[in-house]
Amino acid sequence: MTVRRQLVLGAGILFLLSPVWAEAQSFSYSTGAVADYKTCNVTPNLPRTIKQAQNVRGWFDLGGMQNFSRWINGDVWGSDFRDGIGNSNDLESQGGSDRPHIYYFTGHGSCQNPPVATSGDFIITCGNFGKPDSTTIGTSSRWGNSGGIARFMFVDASCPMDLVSLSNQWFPVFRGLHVATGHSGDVNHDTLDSDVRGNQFAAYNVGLSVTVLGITIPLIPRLSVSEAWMQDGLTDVQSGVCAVALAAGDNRNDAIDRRENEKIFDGRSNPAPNWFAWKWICS
Amino acid sequence: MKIITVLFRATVVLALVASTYGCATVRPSARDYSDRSEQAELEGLARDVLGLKTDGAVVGGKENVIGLRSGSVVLSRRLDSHTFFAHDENYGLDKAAGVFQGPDDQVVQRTRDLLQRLRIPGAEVEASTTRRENTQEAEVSEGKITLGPLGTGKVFGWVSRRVEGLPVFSSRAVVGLTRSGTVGFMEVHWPQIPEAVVTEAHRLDFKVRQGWRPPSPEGTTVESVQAGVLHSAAAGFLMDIYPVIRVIYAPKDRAIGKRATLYFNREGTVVPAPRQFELPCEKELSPRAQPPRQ
Repeated sequence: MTVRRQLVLGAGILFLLSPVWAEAQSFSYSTGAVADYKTCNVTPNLPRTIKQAQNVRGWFDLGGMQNFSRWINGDVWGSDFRDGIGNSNDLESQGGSDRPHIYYFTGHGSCQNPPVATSGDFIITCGNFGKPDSTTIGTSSRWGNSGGIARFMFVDASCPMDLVSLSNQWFPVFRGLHVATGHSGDVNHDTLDSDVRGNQFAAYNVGLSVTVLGITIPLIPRLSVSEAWMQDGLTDVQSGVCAVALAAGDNRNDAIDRRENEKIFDGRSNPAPNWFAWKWICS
Repeated sequence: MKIITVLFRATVVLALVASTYGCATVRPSARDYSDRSEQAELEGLARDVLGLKTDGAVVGGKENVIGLRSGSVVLSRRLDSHTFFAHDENYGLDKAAGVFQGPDDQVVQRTRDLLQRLRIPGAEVEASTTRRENTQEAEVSEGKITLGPLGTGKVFGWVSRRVEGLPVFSSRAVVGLTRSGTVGFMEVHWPQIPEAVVTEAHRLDFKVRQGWRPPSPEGTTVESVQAGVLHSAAAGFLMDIYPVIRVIYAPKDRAIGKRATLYFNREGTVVPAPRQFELPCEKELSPRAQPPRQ
């Protein structure tokens, strides 16, 4: 093949792929990873969270997404996860969780023994600012509202999505949010600090493909958000822990379709949270 | 005389046959390392493992993965590890290929069969179980929540690994089947573990059984101590493998969750996290500025 033909072929492939690449580039994401809790007299530290977030960024970057923020330790604030307006809380311009399309948190949460329908789900940070460090998701977090654009919220913590309290803690937060993922468990059945869990999840969300003769071969399949979480959410967890994925929808069929099929690059419109559909798988 | 002639001829024939076998042993036919041969091997794998028709299949590779697409199904494998992925785009609750509805033991049996076809040593297959997705829906109307019935989704055959009795924490096989029992999803991550790593893991296991005591980070108690092997994940571009002692710590404050988990070598030093890919150096961040006053 002559150089000229190769160039023409290459330009053709780039032209064909340009809409996909442009779409990926229009997506933004943030990671927030907290390893150092000792500063806040909380134990234990979680040394693998920072590597986990780094792996997630590696895949999201490979997928062509734009990193909005990547704070670690004291620069991840509790206020980042509480509803705000203007330039405050989850809309704070440096790292609010409602600023990017996707937010991936890895750090501590809190479990009960056992959780009940009125139990809270928590995100726990150890911030330099934005106190308090503990955020009760159900009462304080709202995503996709007041100019926020969060579509996907991924929480890798302890028991941030207990099945028994799902409707109290998670239904209210969907104000434009599409899909959220987390774990359900209790004090005796919890997640382990892991750098691998997020890696596989991000990899399956982004995928790896090659195009040959105009045919795309997904070498690592790009799965829907919930499919990716069902595959990866049980990595490095104790027995009895469940990986949970929750989607909102305009109606029942829409909610189920989003639960089963919505991928991060789909570019779907924000759902009205009239219906919720969720799935879970347990170790 | 006639008998002697027959015996002589028989000896010659036997010698020729023996020499043929001898040649086969001494000078094995060279393996074909061409692209064409690689494609043929992948096609063979697709036929043997997934039962795919490979007429008109397209083969391509990128980074350290090569794959074959036949219709809606893709089978791929890593070039640096005994790692396989398969996915049928029509696999799913609301999709044409559906999800398997049969009994769990059939899922386990099919998963074990696939592992055998992928030349996974049976002795390394530790536990085979099934994990089933559960589903539910709810309507929210004027503040009232109406829960729908519980349902079931996909079911997966889930296999963990042991080498010479030692757990390989990062290896696994996960297989989901379509309504008709074909493979809807498969991830088999079973990298070869070097003998030296297994030997060292045995030594670490010996230390553990002799009462090796891990350090206890502040605010934790040791929950479990186990020697085994740690390696890079299935989706990745590098393959690091470490013999380790895995220690899981329970928090003393039971309300604070996620278990700290550390992996030690024989000196009690924390081993590096296995890499998934060579990450670019990220620009160091300046401390985050104080938020505006509320």
